[in-house]
Amino acid sequence: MTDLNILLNNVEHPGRYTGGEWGIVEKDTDKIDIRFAFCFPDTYEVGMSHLGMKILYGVLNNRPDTYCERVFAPWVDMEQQMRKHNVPLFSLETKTPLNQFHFVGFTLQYEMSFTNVLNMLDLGNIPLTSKERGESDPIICAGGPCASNPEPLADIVDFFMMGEGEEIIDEVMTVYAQWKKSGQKKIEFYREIAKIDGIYVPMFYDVTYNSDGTIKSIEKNDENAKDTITKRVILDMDNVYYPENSIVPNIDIVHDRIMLEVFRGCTRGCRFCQAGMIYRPVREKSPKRLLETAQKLIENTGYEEMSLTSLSTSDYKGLAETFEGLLQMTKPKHINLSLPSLRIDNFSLSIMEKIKKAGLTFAPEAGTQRLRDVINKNITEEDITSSTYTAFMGGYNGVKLYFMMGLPTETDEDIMGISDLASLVADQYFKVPKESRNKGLTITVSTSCFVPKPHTPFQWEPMDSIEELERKQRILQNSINRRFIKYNWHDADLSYMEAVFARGDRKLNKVLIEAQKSGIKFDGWSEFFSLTKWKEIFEKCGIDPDFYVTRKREYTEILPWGHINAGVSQEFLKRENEKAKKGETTARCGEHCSGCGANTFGGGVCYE
Amino acid sequence: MSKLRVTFKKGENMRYTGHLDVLRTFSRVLRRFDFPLKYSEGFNPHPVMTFILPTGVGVTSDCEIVDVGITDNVNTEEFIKNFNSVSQKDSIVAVSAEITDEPMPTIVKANYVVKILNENKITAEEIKKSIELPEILIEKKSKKQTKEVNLKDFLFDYSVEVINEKEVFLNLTISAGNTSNLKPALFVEGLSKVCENLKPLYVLPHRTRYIFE
Ligand code: SF4
Repeated sequence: MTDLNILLNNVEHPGRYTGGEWGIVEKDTDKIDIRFAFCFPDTYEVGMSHLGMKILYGVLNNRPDTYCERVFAPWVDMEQQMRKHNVPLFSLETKTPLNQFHFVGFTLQYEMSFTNVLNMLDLGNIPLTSKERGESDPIICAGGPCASNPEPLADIVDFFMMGEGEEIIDEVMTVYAQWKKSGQKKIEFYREIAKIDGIYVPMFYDVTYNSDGTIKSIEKNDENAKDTITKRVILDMDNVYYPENSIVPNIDIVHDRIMLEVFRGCTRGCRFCQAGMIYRPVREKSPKRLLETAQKLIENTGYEEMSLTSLSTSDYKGLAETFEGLLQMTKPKHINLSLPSLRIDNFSLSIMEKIKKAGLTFAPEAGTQRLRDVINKNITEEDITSSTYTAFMGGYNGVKLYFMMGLPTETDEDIMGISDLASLVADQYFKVPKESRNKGLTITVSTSCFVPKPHTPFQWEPMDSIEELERKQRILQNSINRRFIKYNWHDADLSYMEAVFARGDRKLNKVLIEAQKSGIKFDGWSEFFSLTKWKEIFEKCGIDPDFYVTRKREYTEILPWGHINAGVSQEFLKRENEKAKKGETTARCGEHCSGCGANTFGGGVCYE
Repeated sequence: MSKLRVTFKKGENMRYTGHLDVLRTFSRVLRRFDFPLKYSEGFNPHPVMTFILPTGVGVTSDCEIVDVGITDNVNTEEFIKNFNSVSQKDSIVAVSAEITDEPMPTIVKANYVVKILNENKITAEEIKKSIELPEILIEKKSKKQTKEVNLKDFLFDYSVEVINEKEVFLNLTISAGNTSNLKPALFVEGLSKVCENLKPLYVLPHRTRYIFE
């Protein structure tokens, strides 16, 4: 292979491509049966910040017969060097070209990374579609939240793993090891794993369409395949593998710290939130286990920062106990603790006093109580005003407020409500006596564009058009007239494309292939994203993207992900959507079970 | 309390990292074993560490020095053993350590071995001839200004070796330190402007020795 130094001398941030960090796993490749390339379809700095990758890297490397290595998407300057010098995409650990692995596995965290998946395959000299790949090519697999609608990648990825990966990936490796000895064709391997719960082999399903482009039927064509593929969940959070060491990057990355996962799932049931639906039911770790893990991670990594991660940390029952324990552990070692997604109340404020002051953020998501009820965001104006008042009393002088635009049933009144709410928060600041508040109030209002996601109550709903979203952004901009309130908004073009792929079907595979050919990549990075380029691709493929974005689906329509069970039942989702229309809220698990169907997994909050 | 002066190598695994990366990595290694690391006072305490000179992205070294604040006595032999057992191999390697009260010595020059892979065949004589020119001019950029300098003013000694007709090993003794510092890569860049045949595919500087005041 070409001396990598030639490439590295000509790119920005060459430290992204060298590997050789503390905590990497090294194995003798001659003694390994299964070589697995774990691919994150984004930069090193983004991918290395991802907890799921750390976990599965550990799970796979715990197997003596398997060696898992990391691969990231090279930045455009590196890609140019690689193509110029004919260097295929390689793993960081052993610099092995991608096409020499047995498995190439992608984690799908956001739709806008799909083009990078294809581009990485191409850079790794691997044919893009299952059909084109032969017996000696790697097997391509994928998992992660976006796998819950796998159809836009159904021609590209050989099999998907639904839900949490710790157990299923291990089971697949065991089947592979046996299959490899048998000398049979790949198809036999796919037949074997199709029997495993949570495995989806797209080629075993035929999809037919009606003349209007909607799906007529999804039928399996192999007897080993399941009618419905149900996601996997880990029930015993205390005994599931969790890494006690972590690769410590040599260069700065996005989240360069110890990440302690507190629980999975979320009990709140916000109707727009895919994570809140597909990670059900809530399963917690015990404070004891968390403290043990934290201790090991502190010793092994040398990190100076630790953060608790989960969808809504305040809901953790053992928070007070865990926090005290962690404080005792981290203080003497000068480790900063951070607790994101903490709701503001007196308890959390007392916590915040003891840790490095993080920014204060709130996500009311909608500007009026009516619309917050529609989306089941159970937070009231009173909650927001009283907690911001408390925070301003406690010395805060800045707060960030996050909202969504384009929510179902939204009117211009709801949009103005956003600015009213921001104003109300400002009033809280001025209520605090001058001598006890910190000078220089800034309130930042950010709006994102609501993208209806599969497996949520809004999966049938249309998304607002770009024009409509931009009109709403202008209304809001004009209605904000206090100088300490700043307004940021997300690009509607990008959300539009995200919406296409979020609820896309198999017809989009050819769109992705076309996009890769024309050099589309790193869509998540605003410097590269261009809706105009995408529109040309759709034109060329004869596909109308509005079909996926702004069209309302009937309950009777067969959805592209209709054969995937992400944990919540269609009946529950319909019920929730109907309640949304009436502005009725749903209580959280623990208070009152709303019968979402996730109790069939047999554990977690449903049985507490 | 005195401080611990550590001489360390910046190895191949850290070549493409900058000074802040070295600093961060070094302090994390110290935090992986029982070491009486001293922290600064104030709201945002950080480890007390002073490096003799930053190593840039692309440069490896055999001779880096850092003074580390300590709150207790340290057995230097054990320190080396402990440090290297929790540092990634070929990254940051502690070579020697001593407890001292002395201020950091002042560097005036540094010695580098620069490995260059040349696009075409080249001889040591060609390179020597160019280095022997009275002037090798190049624009030197600093934060404030760009000015033309004669690289020869910063060069004290050199030797050249070429193997396999394309691999150039340039041994340079050049200015280093806070008053006047020349990056070896810049020297090679200037040299390639006057040496027609020198077209580096890469330049890999390795610091071997410091020369003090
Ligand atoms: S079954 Fe009930 S308790 Fe369990 S996750 Fe669903 S709503 Fe919550």
